[in-house]
Amino acid sequence: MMEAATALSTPRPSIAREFWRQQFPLIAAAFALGLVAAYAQHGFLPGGDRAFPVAEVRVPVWHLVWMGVWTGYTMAVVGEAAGIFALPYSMSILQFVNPHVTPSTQLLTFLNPIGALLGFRRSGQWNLKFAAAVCVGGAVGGLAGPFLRSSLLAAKDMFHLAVGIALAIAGVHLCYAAYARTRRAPAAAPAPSIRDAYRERVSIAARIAGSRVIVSFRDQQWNLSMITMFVVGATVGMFASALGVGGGFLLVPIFASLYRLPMYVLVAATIPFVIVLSAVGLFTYNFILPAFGSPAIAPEWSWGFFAAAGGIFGSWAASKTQMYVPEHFLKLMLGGVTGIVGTLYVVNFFYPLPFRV
Amino acid sequence: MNLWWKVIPYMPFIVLFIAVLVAVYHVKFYW
Repeated sequence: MMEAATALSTPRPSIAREFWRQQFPLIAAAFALGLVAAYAQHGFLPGGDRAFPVAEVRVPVWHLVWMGVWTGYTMAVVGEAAGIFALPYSMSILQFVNPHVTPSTQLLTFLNPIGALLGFRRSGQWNLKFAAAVCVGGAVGGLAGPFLRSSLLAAKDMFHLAVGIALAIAGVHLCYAAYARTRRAPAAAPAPSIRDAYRERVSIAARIAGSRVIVSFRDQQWNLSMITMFVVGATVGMFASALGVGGGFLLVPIFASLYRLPMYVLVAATIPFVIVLSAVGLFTYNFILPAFGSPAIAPEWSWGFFAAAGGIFGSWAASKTQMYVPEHFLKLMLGGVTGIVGTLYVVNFFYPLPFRV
Repeated sequence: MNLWWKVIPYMPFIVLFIAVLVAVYHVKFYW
């Protein structure tokens, strides 16, 4: 308790410097790319007055940046990626309902975790041998998912149903995670190993033995099957890239339940997975689909870049404040909202609701 | 500075509240 109180009263002076030196260039680059993409793709800057031609909706640019900030911040606080919130928000509030919403959100899920990846690499939560199998699986899934999107999930109502199921799963996962941690006092300091992983440089080691990878962190060790990791990565990757989300909402609970991996070790695999999956998914939507005779589903590039500019800031802000927020209550609230929205999407598929979802 | 650090635990809820307000604004003026 004392340590938590001390941490609250003595903010680290390096935070501002870290923001301006490491995060601000990324945010500015994403925003600048949004401007460049808008003029390159359409010859003008869409926004509140002129609709985004691909998205076919009018949305002020500041609103896209804000969407990135709030989805990136709130979801990163509870250990999820922004995509699972940004996708339904884009669909239901911003009314971006055509198939281009998928790769546009995928661009957000590609750029959003890069800041976090740099941060985790700096803190030592990084090991390519550990992440390799699941990332290769994610790449395979990223190749297959867009074909699912352009065939089985091409219709708007089918896509809403699939997103609804994904949201319901994410909602249940968040609520369960909140329930499982209710016994921990909200203001209590985290366990020493978790605290160290956030504040000091740590090291995740991994060595490959046959088809297994042995991961060790401090005095803990996990023996993981790379074949299982590959299959899980490919399956999650296929569904995630078909929807346009990062896949963390499925990958995290599966890995946590299969291998009892704690979150501070899991991020060494899940963050590279989301980046690889999103990059391959974007490439497939733009180049592989047309090579196989399906029309390309181009993203609204500027939409994704503007949202990512906010998302990079939001997820960075979350990484700096995560330890001080009542995570279990927030998980319960976000899980409840996500689950309700998902349920509405599913219900609307079978019994059309009297309002737009 | 101390006030800022006291607000931090409530920040996700403040952010969510503003997000709801912005969403309502968008629905009212852009739908």
